[in-house]
Amino acid sequence: MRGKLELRAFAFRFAVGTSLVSGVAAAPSAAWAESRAERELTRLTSALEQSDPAASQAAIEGLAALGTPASIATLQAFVRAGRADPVTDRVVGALSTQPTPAALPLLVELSHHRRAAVRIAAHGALAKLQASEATTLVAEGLRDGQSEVRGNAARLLGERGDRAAVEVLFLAFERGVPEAAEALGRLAPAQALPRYDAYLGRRALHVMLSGYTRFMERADIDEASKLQIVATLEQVSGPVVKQWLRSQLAARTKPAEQRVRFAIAASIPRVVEGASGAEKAAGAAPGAEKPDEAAPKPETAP
Amino acid sequence: MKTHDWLCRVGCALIIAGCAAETMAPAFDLHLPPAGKEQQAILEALVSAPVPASRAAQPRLVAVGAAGVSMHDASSGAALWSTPARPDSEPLLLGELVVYAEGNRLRALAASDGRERFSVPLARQALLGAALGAGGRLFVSSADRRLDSATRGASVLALDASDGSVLWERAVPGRLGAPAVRGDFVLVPWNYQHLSALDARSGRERLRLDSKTDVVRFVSSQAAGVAVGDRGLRLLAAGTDPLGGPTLALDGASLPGQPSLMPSGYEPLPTPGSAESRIVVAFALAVSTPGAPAQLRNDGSYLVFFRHVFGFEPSGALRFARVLGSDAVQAQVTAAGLLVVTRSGESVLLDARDGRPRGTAALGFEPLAASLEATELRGSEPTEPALPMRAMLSEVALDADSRLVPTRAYAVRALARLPEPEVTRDLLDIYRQGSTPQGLATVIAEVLRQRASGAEHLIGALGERQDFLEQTRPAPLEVIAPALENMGAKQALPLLVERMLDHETPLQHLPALVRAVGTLGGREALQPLEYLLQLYRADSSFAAHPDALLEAARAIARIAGEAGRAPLEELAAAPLTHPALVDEIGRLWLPASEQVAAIASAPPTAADSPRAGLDRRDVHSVFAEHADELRHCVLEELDRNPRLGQLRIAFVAQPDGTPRAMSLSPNGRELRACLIPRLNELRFPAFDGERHLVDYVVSVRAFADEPSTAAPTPAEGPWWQAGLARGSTEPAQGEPWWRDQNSLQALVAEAARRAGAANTSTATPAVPAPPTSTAAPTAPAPPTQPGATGSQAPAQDEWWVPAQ
Repeated sequence: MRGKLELRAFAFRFAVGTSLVSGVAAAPSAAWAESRAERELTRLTSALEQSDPAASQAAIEGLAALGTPASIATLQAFVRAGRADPVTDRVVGALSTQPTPAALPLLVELSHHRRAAVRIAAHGALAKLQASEATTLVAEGLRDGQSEVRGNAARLLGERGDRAAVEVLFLAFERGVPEAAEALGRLAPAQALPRYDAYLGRRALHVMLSGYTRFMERADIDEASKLQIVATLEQVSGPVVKQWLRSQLAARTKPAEQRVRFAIAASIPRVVEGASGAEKAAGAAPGAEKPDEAAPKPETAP
Repeated sequence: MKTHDWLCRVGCALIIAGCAAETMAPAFDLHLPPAGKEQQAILEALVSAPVPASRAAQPRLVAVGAAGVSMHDASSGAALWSTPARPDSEPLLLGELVVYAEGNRLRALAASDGRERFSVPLARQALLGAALGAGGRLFVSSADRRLDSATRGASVLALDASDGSVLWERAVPGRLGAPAVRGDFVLVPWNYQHLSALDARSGRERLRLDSKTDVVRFVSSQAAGVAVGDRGLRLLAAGTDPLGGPTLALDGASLPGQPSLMPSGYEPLPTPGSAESRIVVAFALAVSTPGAPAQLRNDGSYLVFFRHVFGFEPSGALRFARVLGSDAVQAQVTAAGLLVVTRSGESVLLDARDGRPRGTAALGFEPLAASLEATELRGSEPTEPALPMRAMLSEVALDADSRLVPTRAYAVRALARLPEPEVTRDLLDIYRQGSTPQGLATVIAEVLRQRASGAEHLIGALGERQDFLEQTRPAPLEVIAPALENMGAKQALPLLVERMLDHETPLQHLPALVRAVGTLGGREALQPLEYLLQLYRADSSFAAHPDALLEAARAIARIAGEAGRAPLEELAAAPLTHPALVDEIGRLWLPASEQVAAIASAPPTAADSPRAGLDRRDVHSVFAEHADELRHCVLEELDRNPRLGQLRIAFVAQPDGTPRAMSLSPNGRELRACLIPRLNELRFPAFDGERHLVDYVVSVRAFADEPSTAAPTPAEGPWWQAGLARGSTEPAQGEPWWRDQNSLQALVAEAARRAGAANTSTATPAVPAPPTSTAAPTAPAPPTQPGATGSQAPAQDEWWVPAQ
């Protein structure tokens, strides 16, 4: 019954879409659209199992493009029947390319797959969904036993732009996920800067600078906060900071950023070239890197 | 015909004479002791000799410390006297005398004031033991240190206890044990089979007894009689088989480390500070009627194992378990319990019933060795609250000292026999501690499977999963799942399924989990099992380890029966299904005999090929697994012998995997005392062939060519930071990883430097350290961690490497 309803919904969308493309003013009959959608679903479903990889790939992409509960359910059944790695990867890749809310349950399921690559791709697809719960679902990736899954989740949260993720990103950063720095730089409010600054000396300098770079790029961060960033890093000093300040000077071209430019330009000569004690403390010295790897380790995915 | 008869008779006579000459060869005297009535009279005199009275009114102990020898009141710890000395053996407190070896001399001090009575050369290099007899005679056994048994000799010497003048001496061309005095006789075991009674006045051998049933490793004169034995203990009896009486119901072989009931009389007295005296079976025999089996004083016996003390009922049941503050250096049974002198300079009297302290005293220094004469010490009634057995055993089991794995394992087994459900949680907690050695974890896993109560604690733990943000570790599913399966805990099914489908569940623990789901779930388990099997039937996640999938197929077949056949066969026929899974499904509905044949015809794998015996990999993997427990023995040996390059361990492997007749080279007393009990605890894989000799040689790694470095400092900051460097993408700086993480390596390196220094000082070229890259070719490679591209760990981190 539910499948029928889904098919009808798809048929309606299909009919509307067709009518818009073809410019036909009158909508075709519901029965005709339903029939056509069913035929398409049937065609794609049968194409899925073809031995020709190209045909199978096209069917996967077609079902993902349809984006209906029925087509996603077909893909779900297809994956659950057991597939070789490239096929599973293609399914999750197609869902990422053509995000659809209907794919949410399947993506959640795939975000618990034993292969890290599948989980990473599933998180990528989830991050593209507008659904509010997607942020929470992607943030689950920060709990993963594999560092690349955690790093990917942190990066996706930053790109997604949902500020609800700031707290969990700070926790991830505290636990040692270096990618959380850049995400925090994208999302954290200016008031959170002192909290971020507190990691100077506890996290590698290049990791910290990746976050500061994002803070500096943001229009919603006020000028005073950006000046404070420059002042803080001037205290850290050293060649890495100096290089970073130079790159910031080159990037701050807008008239509104003039005071920040002046501050950077004034700061650069004061930054000592040799690695200072402060810079060493901030983790610039080789070997002072303290990246993400503190978690208890499960087995490596084969 | 007659000539033939005559030849036969002459031949037989010669053979009999030869045999008689062999068996009756004199040990101490060419004149053989008379047989018949006189021999029986001597035997009866030995059995019924008056009980030696307690010599000292005041309980005393003599201790050896860095400064010398001192006498103390055992109840208060107060020093009665002290004198500078550097004993090479443990002291013996013998009534009015304190004797010990120093260099090649025997020194005797007056027990009353510590003044030297005499100092005489030892007849042989090694002091085996001494006993003080009536009439002021001191009897001393000593032996050559030569290893060659053909040329090694031993002597028993009678000295005047007042001035050390020699009264008589008897030499033996073989092995001789420590003496004991009974009435007018000196009893000496020799060549492991004989016990001779010598006339105390003349040294003449008056009686010789041969053991037909047991090795004669020690003789001891006690109030209850003359005790002889090896693993078991018997009292000398006056009957037709004097050494064949009933044995004491106390079995050292069942105790951790399989200690002897008494120290071997054939071995030199331990050097002060050696590990040997830290493992003691303590008991005292109660006086009983002649001929009756030996009874235990206080109806109890004790095991002292470094700093663990166990008290036992006569039946062997555990009475108490205690953890001392530091290692014991000596212990003695008293009228009220067990007096223990510890390395930290405390003497503690433990109550015989529950091990609570009846009194403690501080000696004021750290003794290396001690001898006690405090059999009548009673102390006062304990004031500490009595601890339940569970608490006492948990304390022992949780002791993080890696030397004490045998007693920790013993405590774990005893703990597991308690019925309280909380014990299951305790065992799980111990298992989950990061510091729990692998050997102990194996024991816990084994006993947890046999628990019948406490399923709720296991289910509670099942809810814990790996979470990076929360810094939680996964539950030990490899232990929990089989335990729940054995308990039949069906209520665990939802969480078991959850863990089964959790990608964080380690692959190696998945088969046990799948099996438990199948067993407990019945038809309810079919859906999740089918999901797992189908989803991953062709996925590379299980390519190397498909066991969980095979287990799922078996469970489905078992639950669904014939109804499950078609879907499984369809799955097997589907393209890209894992070949091992296809094979397994193909076997599922074969008759049992054909299943066996199918398995037999399958290409053999390392896991299922029959074993004719142990191979090097088997042996190495067991040693590698237990390296933590053995490490400190080798470290101690390195301290004694910084040039130690390799260690040869030989033993007879039994088909059931137990080792027998363990031997070592080098064969130092301290190394043996420390290592052999632990080696005897090892369990190798069982095999089908006959028992065989295993010779395992390991090179103790010495990084003599490493630059000298400062001692590693413990990492600061939160715990996870210790692991951060492993995943670093930056090049590792500073110390090599093993210096930080393997304290042994630093110590070995230190020993190697000391050896290097010694070599330099004697102008001998230093022995080059073995290259680490060629070390441990069979060591399993550690799992690769994604992201760990910066500082790669070496392929092995065992503290030794196979030398073959």
